Amino acid sequence: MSSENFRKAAQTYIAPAEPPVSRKPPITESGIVFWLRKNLFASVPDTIMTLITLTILTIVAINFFSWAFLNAQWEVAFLNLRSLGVGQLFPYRELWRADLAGFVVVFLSLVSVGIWGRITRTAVIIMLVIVAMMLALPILTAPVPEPAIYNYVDENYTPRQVNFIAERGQTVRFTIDPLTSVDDFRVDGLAGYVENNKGQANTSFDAFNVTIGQVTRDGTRVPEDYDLSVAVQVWDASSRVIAQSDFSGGTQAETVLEWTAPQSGWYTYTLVFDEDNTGTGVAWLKVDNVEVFRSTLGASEERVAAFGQQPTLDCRNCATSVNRTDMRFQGSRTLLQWVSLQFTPYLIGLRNFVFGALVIGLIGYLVGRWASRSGILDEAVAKPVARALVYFLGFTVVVYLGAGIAAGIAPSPAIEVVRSVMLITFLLTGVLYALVLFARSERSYATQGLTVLWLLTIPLLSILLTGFQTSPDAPTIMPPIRSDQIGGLLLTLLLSAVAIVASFPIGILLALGRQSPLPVISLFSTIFIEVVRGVPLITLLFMGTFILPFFGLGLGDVDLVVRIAVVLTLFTSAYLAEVIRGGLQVVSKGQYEAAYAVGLNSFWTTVLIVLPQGLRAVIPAIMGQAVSLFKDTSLVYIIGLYELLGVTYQILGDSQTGYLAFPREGYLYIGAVYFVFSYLMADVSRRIERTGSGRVRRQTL
Amino acid sequence: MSEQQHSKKRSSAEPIIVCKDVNKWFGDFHVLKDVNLEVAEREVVVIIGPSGSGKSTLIRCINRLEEHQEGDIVVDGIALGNDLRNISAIRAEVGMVFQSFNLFPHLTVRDNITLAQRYVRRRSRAEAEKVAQDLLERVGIPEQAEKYPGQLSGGQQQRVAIARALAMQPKIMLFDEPTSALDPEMIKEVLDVMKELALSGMTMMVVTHEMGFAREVADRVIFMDGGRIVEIGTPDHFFTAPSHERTKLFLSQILKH
Repeated sequence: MSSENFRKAAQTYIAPAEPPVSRKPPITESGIVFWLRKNLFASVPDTIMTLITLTILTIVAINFFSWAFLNAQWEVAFLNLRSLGVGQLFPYRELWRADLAGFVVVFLSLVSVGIWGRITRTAVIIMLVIVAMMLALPILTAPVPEPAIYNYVDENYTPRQVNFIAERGQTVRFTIDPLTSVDDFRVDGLAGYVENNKGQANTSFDAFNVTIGQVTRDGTRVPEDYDLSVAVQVWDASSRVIAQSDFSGGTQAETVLEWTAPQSGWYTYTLVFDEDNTGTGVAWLKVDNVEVFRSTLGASEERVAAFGQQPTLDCRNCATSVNRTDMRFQGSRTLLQWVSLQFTPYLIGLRNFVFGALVIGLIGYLVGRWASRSGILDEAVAKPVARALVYFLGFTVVVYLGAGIAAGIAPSPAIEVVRSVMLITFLLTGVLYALVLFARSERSYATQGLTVLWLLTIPLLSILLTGFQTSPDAPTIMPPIRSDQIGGLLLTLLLSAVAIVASFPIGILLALGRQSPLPVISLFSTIFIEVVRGVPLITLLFMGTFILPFFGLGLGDVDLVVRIAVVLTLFTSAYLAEVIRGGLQVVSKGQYEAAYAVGLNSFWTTVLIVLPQGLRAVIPAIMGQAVSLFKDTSLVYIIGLYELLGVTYQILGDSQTGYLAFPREGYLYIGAVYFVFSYLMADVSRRIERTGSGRVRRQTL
Repeated sequence: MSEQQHSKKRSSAEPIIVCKDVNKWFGDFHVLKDVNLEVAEREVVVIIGPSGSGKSTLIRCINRLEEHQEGDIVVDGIALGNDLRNISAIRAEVGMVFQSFNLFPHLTVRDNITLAQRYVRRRSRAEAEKVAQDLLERVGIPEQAEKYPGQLSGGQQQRVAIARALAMQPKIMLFDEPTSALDPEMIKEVLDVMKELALSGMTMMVVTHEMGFAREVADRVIFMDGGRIVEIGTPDHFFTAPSHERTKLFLSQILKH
């Protein structure tokens, strides 16, 4: 049939040989205006809903931000970074080990990023902003005067001796401020802290309220009758009086003593009465330019390191003393002062760790990039070297375990030394082995090296965080840290990491077990999963704490943190098992058949074909479990472990800490910390979904 | 294919697959009824028949994706009994190509082909990848090695599936309706690969509806219906002078359109 024949018939049509050019959509169908109209103002009800929602959001935002910027005292979080990070009891001198543990994890994470992917532009921008802020620190640190300390004074209730630190040349001003009207007893903003002789930060919140109550309710104090005769004394660290004011008796506020510290160190101030004429009346002793100790327990070690032990006092009167301090944030402040108070302490607190982490992370990233494409080691050399290193690793393990058995039979210091040497050799050889793998040509070796390094973190981190010592009195740079000394974010991360990593293989085994044709295995798995899923986590945690010891088998002697980690692991593995079982069911029968048909046995079919597909199908759910577990670790504070929430509770709730007034700031801050970590985990999960064949499936779906 | 080639193949023929009185049930349903069949080495056997006639079940019994309940199946001298321990070893000798390809979607084309070589044949990665690349050349898609199955057309996927089966260097290849899920444009590329394979002397059992392929490539054609073998014959005999009424009816149905 020729084309001429077609043209004759009216209903035929032949398209031109050139296909039409693709055009952009009309302007009314794209752009911001179109988006607004489509999503926010599509109809009258839609518009009304939009306006109502916007109004509510605006009100909420205004209220929240005006509080957050004008009233909130963020120092509760920023000045307690150390306690929030590693707990209040973590030994000050061992902090570097926690830092080092963090650096190891940051390093390996960035090596992984270097091997598997790229640093995104967003991440680079965030890091540059952080660096810029850190560099701008000197500018952001505007001088803000220390708030005054107020001590309540009457003839029965004099201020106790109060220890304080003064730097050389620092001038402290003491003022007696008589209370001549009831209005002077203002208690709002009451939140003062000073360090007592136990090294604890104190307030006298309760005692002060009682006094005020007496004053204002039953008139036992008449403010107008002011006739006190008191003087201020300053003692040095060995309790010698080095300065004393005249006795003051007026009814006007009067600066009675200006004292300049002759050298840096601990001092004590107290009041003394004129023994001949005590007088009656009430007053504030106002102390200017003395730093109040806002940070809690852990900080005292730092001060001991810098200024020595604080003086021990004759304790007739050395209980709580400071009744009130002004908040440094109150009053009118310049913007820089505001930043300096509310934000700079945070940057200063994190500066060393963040800078270290950035540098180490960058190195890790470069190592990862290098590992993923290096081929500097000739295969002819690399292969025997790698093999030799593996044998040597095996040798160290055998010697280590053998020495362990020998130590069990006949303990001796020499055996312990052998064990320590073997452990160190093992770690170093492991790192060397990973480097050799990195230097080999194929990309899969880089992955293997990475796996080796991540596995090495298990012994390395446990050494760092528990201690490394051949015998109890041998010299060591890493003395033991007890598990109950670890708290804060560190404990949260440790518990989550252990539980997530350990529950994953257990969850897989349980999921496979539940599908097993062998009834014993399947029944056990099913019962385990259903029982654990049927019991609240809190109950399981209580079981781990209180009931396990009664099971015998030495379970009561196991460290509480370990028991809790095991409970969290088993809890998560039951949920993971069900998630993974769902994933396994996604894998079609054809996949099994194809695997069998090429001769794979059922073990390899499961490992190579079914699990990779099944797990990939449920990555979001698995990560959901991980995030959920991470947040659930906060429950362990109920059984007395001070992880992030527990330590916050401790800081806020302990009357010793003096942060009673700021629960909102504290909880909001750790809420943000939980959010950041959860978001990171979710983001990583989305990236994993998009790797390998996941990328393809996104394209084709 | 010429008569000369047929005779040449037959002359060296030892039966490599023997089915003797094979019976199989799915529950109460009697799928295979007294199936008797011998396939010689280097022979190409095409099985045709209406759906539900047991064609697929028969060839799935041969690599034991299905178990038969009565009778004997002997593959390459090994009887597929109940106490078969190294079933994987036998399966490695029998390649299979499925209607729905069943490629492993989480692996690249190359890994699809190298996986079983490495874990069953214990070849080194380099060796396996060499084999994979050669096979991809042979099936005509050497440039697709890095892609994932989801990125390939159906015809390409099926050719990868053939390469995956061939990588094990099987003695026997089973094809279970390899072109049924393909667009017409892609059927030919797969059939061409299969023809090339048949010419190279592979023992093949092919379940298919491609009568042109059966006529051109098969040494023997088997017609099944209702779980039994109705007629076996050379393509010439089969397509020109079928004996059984059921065969005649079937052929008249499918050759009409």
